[in-house]
Amino acid sequence: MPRRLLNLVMLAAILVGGVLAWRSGAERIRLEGRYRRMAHAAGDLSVVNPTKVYFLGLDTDEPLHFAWRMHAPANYPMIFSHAGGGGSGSSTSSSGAPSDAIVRVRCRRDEAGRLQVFSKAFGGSSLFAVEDAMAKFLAGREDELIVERLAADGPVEMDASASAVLLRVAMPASMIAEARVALPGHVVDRHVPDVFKITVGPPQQP
Amino acid sequence: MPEPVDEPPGTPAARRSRWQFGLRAMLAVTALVAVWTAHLNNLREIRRLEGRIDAVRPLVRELEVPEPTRFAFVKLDALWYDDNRWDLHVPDGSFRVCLATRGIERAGFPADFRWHPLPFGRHAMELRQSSDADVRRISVLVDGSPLVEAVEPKEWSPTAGTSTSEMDRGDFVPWSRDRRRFAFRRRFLMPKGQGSSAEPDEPGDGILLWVDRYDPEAPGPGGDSSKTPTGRAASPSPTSYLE
Repeated sequence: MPRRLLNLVMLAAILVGGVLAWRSGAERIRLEGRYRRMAHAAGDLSVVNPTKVYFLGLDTDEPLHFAWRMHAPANYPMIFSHAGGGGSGSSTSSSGAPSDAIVRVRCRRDEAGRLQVFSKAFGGSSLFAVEDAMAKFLAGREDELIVERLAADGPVEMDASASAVLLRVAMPASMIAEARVALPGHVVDRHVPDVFKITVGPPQQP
Repeated sequence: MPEPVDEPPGTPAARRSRWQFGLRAMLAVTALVAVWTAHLNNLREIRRLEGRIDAVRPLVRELEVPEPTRFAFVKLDALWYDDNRWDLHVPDGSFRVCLATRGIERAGFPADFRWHPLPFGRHAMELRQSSDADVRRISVLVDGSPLVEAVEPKEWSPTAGTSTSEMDRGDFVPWSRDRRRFAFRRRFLMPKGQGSSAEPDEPGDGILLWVDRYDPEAPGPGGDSSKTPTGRAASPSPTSYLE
């Protein structure tokens, strides 16, 4: 009799455990699918040390559209500066806690054919235009440009005090020589050999 | 005295010891351990996944509709300068989208505006501005079609910059100041001399886009805004809700 009771208890425990395992398994599969979808959009970034800065390049399926998942430590005073556009923008992760953001740089031509560069990080964004003469020079040749972007092949960790080139769009050697001949001096000074370059990091001490 | 007799083969086995189990019992114990281990492992993995999803949720800006009877909206990530797009869930036919370009104050809503009912269901909404030769066109597109549009002369354009609600912040919930409507408020600044500019104290030009509940039976474009309920936001999801 006690053995039969034990068998019944064990059977009940197996049935209850089986139902719970089936339900928790279904929930786990649902969450895994959801996380995969979200990670495709925002990257799967493992932050080992929250006091460091992390970047992970993301796919955008657009040639001159670049995105990164970025982790910034608390109160990280980030300067987002662009050379080649005649100015700089700054953005700060003013949160008192470590925070993540999608950093974006996108280039496209407006209706008038001007080449514009949009950049965005945390709460700040900026838009600058490449010189018209350079925009005309590059018309139809954008795919010849050399693009170097941070964390294109995997996550990059850096100290909060360090700066890094986030994106560099530069001319190949053959185009540099041609540009020096074809473009006015001030355009060459500004856009050759780097058409534009975006740097991230804390403000530099004077 | 009787002689002891050997048990012939095939007769019931001798009584098992306390620690001896049959194959059936062993399989049952294995199944018991397997299902409960799987369940506990799933629970641990679910907790880990939920933590990772919570961390990435504000970045992805997915519209979440846990209660289909509530109006829900999320601002999408800006892909360009002044890119203002939202995903909406409209629970029934008593919500409308409204647009004003004049008489905009720091708070409150002007009496003169254009509006259109929002259809039931999930929608993509965009605030788009374009310039023709002589006019500026401010359109609210829903699912790619202009639903409300205002046309203003070139002179209407801002000359000294604009002041806009911080719509690009991932954690920003674009409530109106009374937190009763979803609103996008942009006021044109006025030049104050010596290159400086400031928000005007009086109502001025700008763009005010809002969504609120209205009474389809009420006469006039204003509807019955007194019934507009209070909204509240859920955290950490970037989606926000009107009740």
